[in-house]
Amino acid sequence: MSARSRLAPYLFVGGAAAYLLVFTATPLLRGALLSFTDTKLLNPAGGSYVGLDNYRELLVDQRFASSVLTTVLYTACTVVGSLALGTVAAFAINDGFRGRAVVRAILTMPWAVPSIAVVLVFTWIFNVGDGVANRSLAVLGIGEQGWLIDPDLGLLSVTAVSVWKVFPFIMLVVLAALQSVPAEVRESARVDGADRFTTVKEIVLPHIAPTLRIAALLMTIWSLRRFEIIYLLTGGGPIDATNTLVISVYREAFSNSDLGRAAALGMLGLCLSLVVTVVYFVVERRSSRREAL
Amino acid sequence: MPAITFRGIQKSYGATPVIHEFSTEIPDREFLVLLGPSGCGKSTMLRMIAGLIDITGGDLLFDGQRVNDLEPKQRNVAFVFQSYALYPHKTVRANIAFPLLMSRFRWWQHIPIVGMVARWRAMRDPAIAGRIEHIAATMELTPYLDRRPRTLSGGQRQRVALARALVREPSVYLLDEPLSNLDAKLRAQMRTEITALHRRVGASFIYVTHDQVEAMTMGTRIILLNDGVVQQSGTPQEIYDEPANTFVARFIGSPPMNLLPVTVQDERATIDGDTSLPAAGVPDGAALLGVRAEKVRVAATGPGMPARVAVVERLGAETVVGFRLGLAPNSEEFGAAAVRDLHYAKLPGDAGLAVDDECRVLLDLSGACLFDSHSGARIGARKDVRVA
Amino acid sequence: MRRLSGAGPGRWLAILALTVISGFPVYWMLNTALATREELFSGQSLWARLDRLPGIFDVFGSGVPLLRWLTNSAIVATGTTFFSLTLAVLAGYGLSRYRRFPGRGVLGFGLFATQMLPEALLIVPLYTLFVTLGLINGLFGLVLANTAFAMPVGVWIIKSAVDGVPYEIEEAARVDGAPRFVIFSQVTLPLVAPSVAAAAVITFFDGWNEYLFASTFIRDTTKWPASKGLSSFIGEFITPLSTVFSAALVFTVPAIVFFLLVQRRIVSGLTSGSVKG
Repeated sequence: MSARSRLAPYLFVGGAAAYLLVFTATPLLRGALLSFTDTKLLNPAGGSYVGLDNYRELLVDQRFASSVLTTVLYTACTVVGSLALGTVAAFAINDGFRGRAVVRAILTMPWAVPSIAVVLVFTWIFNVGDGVANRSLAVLGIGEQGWLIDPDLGLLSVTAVSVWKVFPFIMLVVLAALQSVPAEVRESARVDGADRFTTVKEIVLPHIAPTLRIAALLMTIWSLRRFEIIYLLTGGGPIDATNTLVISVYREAFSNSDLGRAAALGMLGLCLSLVVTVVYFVVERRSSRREAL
Repeated sequence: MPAITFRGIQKSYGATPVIHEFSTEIPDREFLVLLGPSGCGKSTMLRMIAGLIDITGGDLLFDGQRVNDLEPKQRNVAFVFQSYALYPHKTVRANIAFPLLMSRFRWWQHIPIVGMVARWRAMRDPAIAGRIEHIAATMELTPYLDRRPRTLSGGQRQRVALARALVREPSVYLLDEPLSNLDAKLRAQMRTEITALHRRVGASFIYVTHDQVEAMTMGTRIILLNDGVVQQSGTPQEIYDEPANTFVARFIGSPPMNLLPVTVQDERATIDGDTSLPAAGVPDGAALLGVRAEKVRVAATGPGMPARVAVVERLGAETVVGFRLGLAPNSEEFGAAAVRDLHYAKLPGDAGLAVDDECRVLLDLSGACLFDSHSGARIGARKDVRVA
Repeated sequence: MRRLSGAGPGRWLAILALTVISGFPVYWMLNTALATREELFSGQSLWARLDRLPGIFDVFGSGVPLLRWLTNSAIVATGTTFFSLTLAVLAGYGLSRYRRFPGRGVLGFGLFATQMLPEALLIVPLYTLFVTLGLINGLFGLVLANTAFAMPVGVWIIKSAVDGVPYEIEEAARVDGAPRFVIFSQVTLPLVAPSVAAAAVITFFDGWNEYLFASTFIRDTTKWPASKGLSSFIGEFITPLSTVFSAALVFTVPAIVFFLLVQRRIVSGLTSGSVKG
């Protein structure tokens, strides 16, 4: 292999690699370093080494524990909700019918709408006095709800909006997987006497299972990261009801001005993502090994 | 028109050898066929000759010059792929022109606009345009020059692939199973076209296939491979008449050569305990007697070894009869078990036999071979005795 | 061929419910944009006053600097697309065709890992980095920050697209004497053009929609992209809602339109390799 062809791969990926190094890896490293200091927002360059103090304080902090709980709750509900809704939607529109293209376009819209617009419209919909949510409830005789300001409802509302926003992704993924089930396999099942339900259970679901798993992973990681929707709808409130880890990172940095602590929070959140990814790969390897038998 | 020399050529991926060491000399202008079952390494071998894959060990020489480290372009070879590998987004004209454009390529043509202009001007150069028209006319592609590959039929795409190879006037043409994607009738036609092309162009052709009919009809020289090991290298007739081992014997020829177990004692080989024939110079022990199907006579009655018919294939001009020695009735098994241990005879016309009939088998031993039962290698001399 | 789901009323009910759920909020944006203040606060009607549709464009003269916001958004989005795609196309090809060079595993993991990183974690170090580089308070800095997150998605899409191009075509070009970069640009790239287009649309709207960096890195209100500008309406009660939602609609419609055009490719790009068969 000539010297030039050994160099070739680096010429292609070099740009992207260098970019990642400068704009992602280095800041990540600095963030990690920050987490071991007591740097404040007003003096980003100053700040002295405090070892694991930030982490120690966090791990005994009640608020931290509750934000982890909130994060887990929010993520679990969003993932399950969007998987369910997306799968139902995919099955519902999988077979052709008149106007299918239009329906599919409408069902894809939530994913396409920019988060800021989503926030604006749902803030208005959930408006206590004049929003359409409460006005509809009034028609049904149910009293006003404080969708975004009632601590018991805040997480629910935010989760609902998130599910609404992301379920089209699941729908499209499942649709693609459904359409990749070879027709002949389904016909063969039919000749063998399987009814519709059995066909779905025995043939279709196993076929789309790997796709669903990847979609679940992506959904989980995205939920752990989700910032705009939550921050702009509730800012982490009411009373920390929607204070997920990423929200608390932001608040710690910009409201509390404590950069060191914010960085530590961020690193802990990152660990959570890593754990999730590792779990996924373990499950995936076991499943695909079982499937390959 | 180089003579090609393989000297200890070997290919491994890591510790796994895929082509075992082998050496041979191919004189120029040969139509060499690399033949073998799927996965035997023939495509790998071809790509090594082309320069698309590195050679792990040994030397490859074109006219005595070592080419191991040369890029395909520098070896002056052309490659026709099994899938044709035409550029789908370019017209037929642009496909054929591409090698010519690349031969004029200079590094500054990498710059987008400059490159585009250079190519545009090259296409207008009468030397290039003329050459494309000429090749297209030769391959009967003139009406399709401005079409894209997806609008062409399989045979036409094949011709474009050939045209793209021709246009470069290489000294070696490498073809990787070019006919396997065509239907049977077209395949037969393209076979003759390619052979005619070889004669006209006067360059060396190296042709990979798993189809022994293609190999026998087109090749002037065949290298038969199995599992990365060269089984035999020779002319079609040599390989047919004097197979080097049982693999070659059964791979070439349809139906496959019959291998009858015999026992050799005191320089006589005995089949089935009674019929025997002289076997000069052969050591005692078990062996295999190889007899081609067309040298086996089967008749309903008359002299010969008793056998039972298991399969009859009527091909019109001839009939292939599959039988088992001995008179045991055919078993009820089906699938692979049904064709186990069958021997074949090829008879002219209609044999007048049906499945489950009793019959008598006569062997014409002219041209028969003896093989070692363990190694499968052929044992020396031949016999010319009729078995009664 | 027999359907997978029941053809009965249950299915139609599901389709109806899903359509209403999905479409309602966008419809509501339209409805609110077309309503007057009185109508909104005395009981907003369920039906949008489509006769007032041209009135949406009044938002441009209403004192809201929408045009400037949109221009900034367009600049950021275009810049992000340009940088991301250039890097992604090269890296996607490299990762697809070169399977075994030192560092490939690390790079692959690194690209995937950026999907896991919360922007909130990186925002402070990036902020200080940009201050040092003098990129704060500029659209160019935004472009650079966005590219860091958008580029890996592009790489993923392009790589799986290049995986789908038969290698024999590149071998043929190699035998024809084409140097590697020519093979990349003239043979492979044209064949993955649709995926490149899809990646371009995704990256464009990544930049178009992005909020966090925009709100943290830009001090000048004149340099606000629309995502930040629109967020300024939250919690403020002066600007009429109809104006707010007219602006939101103008911001949203391009995203919807283009997104619908390419959603199929995005999905296949993100999940390819996991679908059997």
